[in-house]
Amino acid sequence: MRNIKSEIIAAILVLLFAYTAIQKYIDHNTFLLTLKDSPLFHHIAGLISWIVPITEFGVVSLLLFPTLRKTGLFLAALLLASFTLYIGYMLIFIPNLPCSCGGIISLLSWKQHLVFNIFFTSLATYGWYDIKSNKNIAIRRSPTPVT
Amino acid sequence: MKQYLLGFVALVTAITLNSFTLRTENHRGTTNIYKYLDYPNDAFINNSAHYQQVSSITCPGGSHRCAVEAQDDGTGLPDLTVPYTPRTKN
Repeated sequence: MRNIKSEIIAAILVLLFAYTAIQKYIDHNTFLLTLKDSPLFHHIAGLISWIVPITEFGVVSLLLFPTLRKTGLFLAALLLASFTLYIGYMLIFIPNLPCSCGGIISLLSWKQHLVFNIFFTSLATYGWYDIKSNKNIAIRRSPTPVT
Repeated sequence: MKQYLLGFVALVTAITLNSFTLRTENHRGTTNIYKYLDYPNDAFINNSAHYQQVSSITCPGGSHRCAVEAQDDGTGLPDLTVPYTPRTKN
């Protein structure tokens, strides 16, 4: 049975992750330089600058296929939660904030970005939970085998 | 096939949106040579506005700074807040 809610949530997340991953890949030099400005990642900026877009592309691939969507939503929530924690840490502890976000999202302030990330983390978590609970209902409703 | 449709529409939209996103070229972080414009007066050597990017330079020698090899600060001027190499000769 199709789960329209989780399909819409997955599509929104595909749009978000594909857009930012492509931005980070195309404009890789800018992404790398802003990571070098980051007090948390400056020593591993080169590695992170590739790991983040590759992971985002990976999440997009998982979200596109219905059989892998549940894992994709879980990883999307995890990735967004880690970005949210990073933004929270930077807002609390770092006075001069570099932005390593992609495209039009870089127009947001750090506080707006935090709200944006919290929203999308909640959306991904809800999508994952929805698929999980629907599967449990489907298992419970399936007829018991005749013995 | 219907269950793949929304995802692929989103993917195509993301690619399309990227095509319309303006990119400004950022030279920040690249190392260049910047000529010191007030040579041999050393009063403004710490002011990046008194430098100009050049492709190469030959310094006359002596103790005064004539140029620096430094990272670009993103505006075409040297970033003097990070380590750089001052040039006094050649």
